[in-house]
Amino acid sequence: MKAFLSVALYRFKSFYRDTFTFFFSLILPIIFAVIFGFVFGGSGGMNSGQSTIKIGIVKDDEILIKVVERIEGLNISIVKHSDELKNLVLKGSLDAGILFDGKTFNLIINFSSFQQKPFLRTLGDTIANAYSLQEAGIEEGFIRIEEEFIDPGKARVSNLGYMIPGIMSFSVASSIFSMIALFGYYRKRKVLKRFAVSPINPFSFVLGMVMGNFLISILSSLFVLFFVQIIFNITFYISWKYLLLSLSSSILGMMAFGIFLTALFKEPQTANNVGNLLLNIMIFFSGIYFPLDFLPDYLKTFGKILPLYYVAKALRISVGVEEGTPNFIFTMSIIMISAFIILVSLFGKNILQLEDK
Amino acid sequence: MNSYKFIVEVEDLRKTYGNVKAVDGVSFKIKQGSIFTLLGPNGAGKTTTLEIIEGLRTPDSGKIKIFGKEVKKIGREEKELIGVALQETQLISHLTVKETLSMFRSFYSRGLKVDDVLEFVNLKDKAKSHVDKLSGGQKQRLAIGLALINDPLLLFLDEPTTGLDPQARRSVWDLLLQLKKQGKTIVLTTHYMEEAEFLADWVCIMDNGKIIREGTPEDLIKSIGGESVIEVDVEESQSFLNKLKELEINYTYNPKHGRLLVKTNNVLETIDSILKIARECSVRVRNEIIRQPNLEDVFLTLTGRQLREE
Repeated sequence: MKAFLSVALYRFKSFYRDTFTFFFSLILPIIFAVIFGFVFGGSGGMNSGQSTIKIGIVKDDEILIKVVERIEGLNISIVKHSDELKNLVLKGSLDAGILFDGKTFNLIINFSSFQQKPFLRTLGDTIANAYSLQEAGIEEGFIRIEEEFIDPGKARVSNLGYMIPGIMSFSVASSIFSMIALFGYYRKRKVLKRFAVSPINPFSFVLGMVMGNFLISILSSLFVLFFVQIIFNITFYISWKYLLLSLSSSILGMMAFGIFLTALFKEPQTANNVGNLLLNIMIFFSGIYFPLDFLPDYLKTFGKILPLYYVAKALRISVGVEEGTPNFIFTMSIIMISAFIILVSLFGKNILQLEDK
Repeated sequence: MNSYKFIVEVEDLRKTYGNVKAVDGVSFKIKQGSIFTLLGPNGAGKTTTLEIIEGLRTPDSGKIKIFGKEVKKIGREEKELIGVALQETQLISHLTVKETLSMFRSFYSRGLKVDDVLEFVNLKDKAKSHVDKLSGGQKQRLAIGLALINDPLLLFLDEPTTGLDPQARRSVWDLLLQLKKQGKTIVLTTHYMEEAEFLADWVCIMDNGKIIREGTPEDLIKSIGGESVIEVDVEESQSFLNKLKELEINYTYNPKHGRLLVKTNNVLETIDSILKIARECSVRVRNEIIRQPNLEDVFLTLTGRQLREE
């Protein structure tokens, strides 16, 4: 126990004195959060007010203008020609444009805006319906469009708020590399050799190192969470119990995976490359940075077999941006902790066996 | 621990990597309280032998008895009683000297106070320095400090002075002599014959994985005869070497360094003869040294090579 605590303490000390590693572990996720914050419109909190949708209509379509003007939440721009309308949408000055030739509504959407505001597709249907009702003589009353977030969790947050648990899970997944960096490079630099000639139990050593890094990863994730809440005025409804359970278990699971890669590949660079590849695949298919709904069904299924999908989901549930049951978090945590116990039991004891074949 | 006559006994130790016999049937016994030295060039098998005893490598065959107990590979119980300074000690970056010693101290059930170790290895003023900032000599002293932290009965020091300047080397030698005075048994590997001569009670000369000769430094030197050694730098010349052969003297010529070594009982006559044929062949002779034979000469006699050639 003394050896375990000592290794954990000094690992932690060596980390926070290492500016480079400190930067990548704590500051990089913050930089990600800031970049995404600005990409997705800065202040991400719903408290900051309702956003409007900029719609363009060609000026000679008076009935259409009348119909659209009655719809709340739309900012209408009247343009002279359809070409000008398309150009403004393309440049991003307008979110969408509507053209009506008497028979068909054409909703003109810039693909990049569509990714950010998928509800634009339904806007076209709504306007078409409103137009039909106008034609039928029903002018007032019940046709309204409001941009309303149907919050799956308790917290009412924007895209950024929804994405923050994803950034935290990126930070969690980076624990893979912390283990490769520790054990792989320590082995290559022959740091482990000094420990191997001492009477320390290999599990005390591995768990001590894991604990040092575990604290760092927890701090890094919580740092992101606090930082974005302050900077972007987002309010999460955090369940600390579930958040700490989700974070701890997923960090341990990811670390165990890093230990597994270190045991599998003698060259830390190879382990790092494999880890990087897997992390990118997991990030891409785990719905961290964009909704999985864009993907074909078979890729959605693939995403759902990757652990990061569940890590991100558990974190979203824990901070209240997604509906979910405690059972989901418990199940995920049990699987992650079991993976940690199994992989560390299998490979941890060999960490200090350094013999070259 | 059991009672024992020798603190370490090694019998017919073998270790092969592919086609290379790194350790090829090595046997020796180490007396308690002595400085035992494995002397040999790089690649002789010294470090592999030591690392097998330290438990870092598993032998293919052979017996190891340590503290009177036969072990296949040493365990926690033996590790508590030994101290190891590796050939190249790499430590966790960004920790101070004192923190590093404290961390390793926590792995042992018994040992010395960290401050006492710092004082002994003369690193007290560097206690708060980061290990990455230490000089070569300071790092080596820290490595010895780490080996001493558990107050071991038996110390393994793998080339503790390699790469150090003469002053730093001398300071390490002084430390080792103090440890010997404290009754510790020291197992040392080196390729410096001066180090072995100065420190060792018993020397095993290793080459190509085998022990080719062992004994006290004095006995080993006596074993090659008490003749004096003449060393001279000579330009390479076939006619000079041909004439040298005709002199019927006991010599070795190293063409790589242009160094001629001659063992003789008749120093003046031999020098005269060498200078004479050098003049005849128009060869320059420089840096003449006349000295008593040393362990380098023992190695040269046994292998035909110099220790430092490797």
